[in-house]
Amino acid sequence: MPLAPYRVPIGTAEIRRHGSTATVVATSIMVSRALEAAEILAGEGIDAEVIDLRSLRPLDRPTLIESVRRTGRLLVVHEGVQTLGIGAEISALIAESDAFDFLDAPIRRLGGRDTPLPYNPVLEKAAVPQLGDIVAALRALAEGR
Amino acid sequence: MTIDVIMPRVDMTMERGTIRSWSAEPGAALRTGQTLFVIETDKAAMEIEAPADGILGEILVPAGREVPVGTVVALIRTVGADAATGHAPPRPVSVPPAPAPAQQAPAIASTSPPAAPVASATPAVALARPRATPLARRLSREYGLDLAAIDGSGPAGRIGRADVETALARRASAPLPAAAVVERPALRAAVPFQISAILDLAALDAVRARIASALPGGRRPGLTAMILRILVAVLPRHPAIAAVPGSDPSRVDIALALEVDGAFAAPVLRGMERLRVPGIVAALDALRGAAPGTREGDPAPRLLLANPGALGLEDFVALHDGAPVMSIGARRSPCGTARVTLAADRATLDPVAAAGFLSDLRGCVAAPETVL
Repeated sequence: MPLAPYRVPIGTAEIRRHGSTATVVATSIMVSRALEAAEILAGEGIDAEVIDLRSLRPLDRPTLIESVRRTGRLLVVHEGVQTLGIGAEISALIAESDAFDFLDAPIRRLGGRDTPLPYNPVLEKAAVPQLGDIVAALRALAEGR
Repeated sequence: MTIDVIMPRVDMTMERGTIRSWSAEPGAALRTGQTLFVIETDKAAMEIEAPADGILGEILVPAGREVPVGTVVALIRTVGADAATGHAPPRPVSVPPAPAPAQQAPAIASTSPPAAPVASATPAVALARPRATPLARRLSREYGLDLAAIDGSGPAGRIGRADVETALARRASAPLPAAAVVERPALRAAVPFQISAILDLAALDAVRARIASALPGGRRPGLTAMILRILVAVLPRHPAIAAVPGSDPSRVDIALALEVDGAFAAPVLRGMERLRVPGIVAALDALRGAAPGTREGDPAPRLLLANPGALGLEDFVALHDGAPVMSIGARRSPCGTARVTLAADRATLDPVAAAGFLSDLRGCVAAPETVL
């Protein structure tokens, strides 16, 4: 995090890592975890593009669509509950866009468990996606599962 | 469980089909793969196989009736299904049911051979069209490939981009059918040809100006770098463009015609498929410093790119160790166009494939946002 005052543009996503095998769209803390996962998998020949959504509404549709058109695979990672979450919205957005014809694997979502966020730190970790979960999801996506 | 058997689409243009005859009676025990009915399209008759093991329930479309593709023509009860509850829900299909053989199933079920449980929940879909990703479908459509003839390597045999590309590479390397080979063998040794197109550079220039801000020093990338970037995007789609037929289409190695110490040289840029514009600009800069040597086992370049246009000259027509040669001519102002010429040898490149490649390249240069 920069020490000096800074501005984050609203409505434009940022491509934090360029890649060609799969697009990972992430929000807030999941961005750094997704970047870490991408670096781990780079050694396996999985070259993931990581997009930091930055704002959900307005949502930067063109950046997402363009990226999926290039990579053909999409994983959405977010901390909130997976059911009816931002991952579902982005998945539908891509399926409805002209990126559909470029999809080479089913879209995957990785969100929190269907539960209120537990207070117990061990359970809290289990309830939201961790690095290992993202690595596993990304690997499965690259294999087309 | 009841499985719908639908009128399959057996060729790309088929909208409706007629059932010529049924090969099984309602109540008959069916095995997956056994002929269930014969359809007639406007082109041919074809036997259609049962999509699952079970008992043939109702025949909904009698022989002789023409129905649209996708219409449910019969129901199969998988063994163990409760005949009373096993009916599919009503469907919006305007086909009157055939004379009801309804309550025969339980009696028949006891006499039928034990059948394996049906794993897939949607065999009716599998019967109609192979499992493939949207990208694989689009590519096979664009290249005129029949998906049914491609082996899928994905989960449950799903066909993905890699499978289509493998099929394309195989098609590119397959010998022409005997009837199509009209040249005498002696002539096939070297039959040079060339084909040209006019590139509209306006959109590419706009991208160059935009990318400049992302490059060190705000330098506008050269036309050669931009054309290389387009080639990186386009070449994987054209496995035929290669010095050696059947080589890996995803790999993009490009030789570049350069002047080194006053003489022609063609160093090869390798691993281009990983590069974007900044990487390409850096690779070109490195090339001007010291050209890389060729290591043992390096594949031949996909093509040689020459830019005589930089000297105000036009077509450089040559062959380069079996690889096609693409040259970019001088920019014509004020309209901002340039001629590109592809020279190749018919022994290694089919002119139709060359034309498809050049036309794709022209389209991508005119609308670079589709690939960049």
